[in-house]
Amino acid sequence: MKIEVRLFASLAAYADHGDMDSEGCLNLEGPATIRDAVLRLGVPEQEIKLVFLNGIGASLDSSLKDKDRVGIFPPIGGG
Amino acid sequence: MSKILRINTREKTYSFETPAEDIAGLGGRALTSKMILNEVPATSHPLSKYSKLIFAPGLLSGSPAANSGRLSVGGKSPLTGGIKESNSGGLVSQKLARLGIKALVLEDKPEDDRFSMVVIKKDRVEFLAADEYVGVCNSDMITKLWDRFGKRVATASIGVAGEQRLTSASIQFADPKGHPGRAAGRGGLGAVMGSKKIKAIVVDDKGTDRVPLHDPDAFKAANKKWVELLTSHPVSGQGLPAYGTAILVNVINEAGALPTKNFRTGRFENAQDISGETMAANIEKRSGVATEGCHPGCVIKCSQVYNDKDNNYLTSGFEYETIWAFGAHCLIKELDDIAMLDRLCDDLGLDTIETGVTMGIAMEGGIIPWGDGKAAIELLKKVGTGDPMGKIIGNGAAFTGQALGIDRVPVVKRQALPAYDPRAVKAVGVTYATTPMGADHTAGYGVCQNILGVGGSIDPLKKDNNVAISKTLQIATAAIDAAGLCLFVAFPVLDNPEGLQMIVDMINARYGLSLVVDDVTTLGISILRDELEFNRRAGFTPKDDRLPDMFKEPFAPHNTTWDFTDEELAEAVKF
Repeated sequence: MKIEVRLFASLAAYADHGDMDSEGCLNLEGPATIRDAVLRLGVPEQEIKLVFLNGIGASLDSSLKDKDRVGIFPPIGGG
Repeated sequence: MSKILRINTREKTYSFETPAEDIAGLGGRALTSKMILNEVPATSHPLSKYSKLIFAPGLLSGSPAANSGRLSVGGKSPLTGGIKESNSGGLVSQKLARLGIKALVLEDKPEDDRFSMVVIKKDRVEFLAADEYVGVCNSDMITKLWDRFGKRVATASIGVAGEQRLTSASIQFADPKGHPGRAAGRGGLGAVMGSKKIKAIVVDDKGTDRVPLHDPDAFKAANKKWVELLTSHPVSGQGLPAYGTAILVNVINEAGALPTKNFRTGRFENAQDISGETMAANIEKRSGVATEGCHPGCVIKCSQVYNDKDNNYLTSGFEYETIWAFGAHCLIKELDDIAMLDRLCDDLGLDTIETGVTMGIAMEGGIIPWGDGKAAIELLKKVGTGDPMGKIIGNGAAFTGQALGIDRVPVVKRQALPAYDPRAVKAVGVTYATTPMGADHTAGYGVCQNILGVGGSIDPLKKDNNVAISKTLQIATAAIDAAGLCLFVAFPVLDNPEGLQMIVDMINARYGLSLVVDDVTTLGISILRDELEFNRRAGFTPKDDRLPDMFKEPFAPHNTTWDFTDEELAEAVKF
């Protein structure tokens, strides 16, 4: 399945991984969770604070399906 | 004991008075709101002689407590018609505190049209003619004032928007480098200052002693823990210094809550172009300043200097809210155009949120095309020129919407909504609807629990628990504003059960008090009660605690609606 993985702020550099295609997508063999996706990209789990799956707050254990959009952030705030 | 400094702007006289018992222990927002309730008739015109403008340092301002240099500016808002506390960094708060001034009150108004400025020093207060400064923009104003009075003085000034008493007018403050990037922006208090014909206030603390501490050792110990708390939390210690508040663009967009094209959808396809990451990259490439504080003693340093492509200064204090308002809300994707709009707002003396939202209303009304940053810059430049369109724009979103015959106007109590859609971040939506300030995210920042996972986690798309968390945050925020602390201390304080105790310990050590943590809640509630009472006397009813009809429409991508009942909303401000 093809997953759009969006990495932000200090995690953006991990999107440079060779497994990511030119559209920012990752191909995974199912079944897989968000943790599988970030492990593949080498993102250290302890640097991850916020996980979104199709715009909804999720966890690394959330299951993925084809064409999902995942957003990963370190701890951030503002306002 | 600290004094109240009253300035009569008609007679050009001043007096110091000992604060009455009921206000002696108050500071910041607690003091401004109590004094406005006590002294300003709620039905009076905000620009009349009966109106007052009050500047009050927080309880900890002037002390060595980290991030305690915030100032409360209070009055009756010409924008909302209700009570207003607008909070800012800069240098005024700490210097007033060192001068032993608990509150500076501008009263009455001159009968002629001549502008003055007030210069406050250790041993005297002076009125000086300011005719030569009329029409001068805020950045030039600060340069002129620093040249004349010395580089360390604190300044508060209004631009042409304030001079013309437009209801989006801000009061701008010099930051430590002399840029006008700090503002009491919301609610049009710059117009109140303009109505009293005060172009600028200069505060010089030369020759003053350090602020007295009742128990210096206890204070030092508490402040040490406080600094560790602020610098060790990942948000206040790393995220904010690295990317500024604009780091929020991507996360709010990802959450589907970034109001785009006047609150039509929650995702902006060009979010990355206007993100904190892009801003940080430009700053690095163009030799800007990635991180700096808005006042001495700040350890978070979320501000920055943003240069243009030729490495020349463009703006500072370039905030998420501003970038959203001129960016996603208006479909403008050129960050440099947005930076220019921010700079123009600082110089003209306009609230960036109100003005950015207004720009979207001008696009809604066909005055300029959606997404046209250059046209927005030209339109904004009309403010202060005498062009009637400039007068319309400078009076905010509700006024402009009315002028253009538009019903899609995102305001509560005539104040424009900030950068989080209330249908997709429901806790902050409850705050927009119910705070006595008019739509204001800072009054109860439920984004923490809804999106950022700070202080717990509450579903942003459902109603459950979002009224309660808004209420809790509104109470806590009022107390933080009274202490003179930067609101961003809330990120670590919400995550650490000892955080509030540290604040209480510092206040106790400063004043020789024996407050407990519960007193913080009591204080927050009493502030809100004062503000709600003022608004009640001004004619506000629960019907004013509502979002406009446009929020009944489903909001993509989550297709949620604004679905709180009147009874549910009423709970947020029931004490």
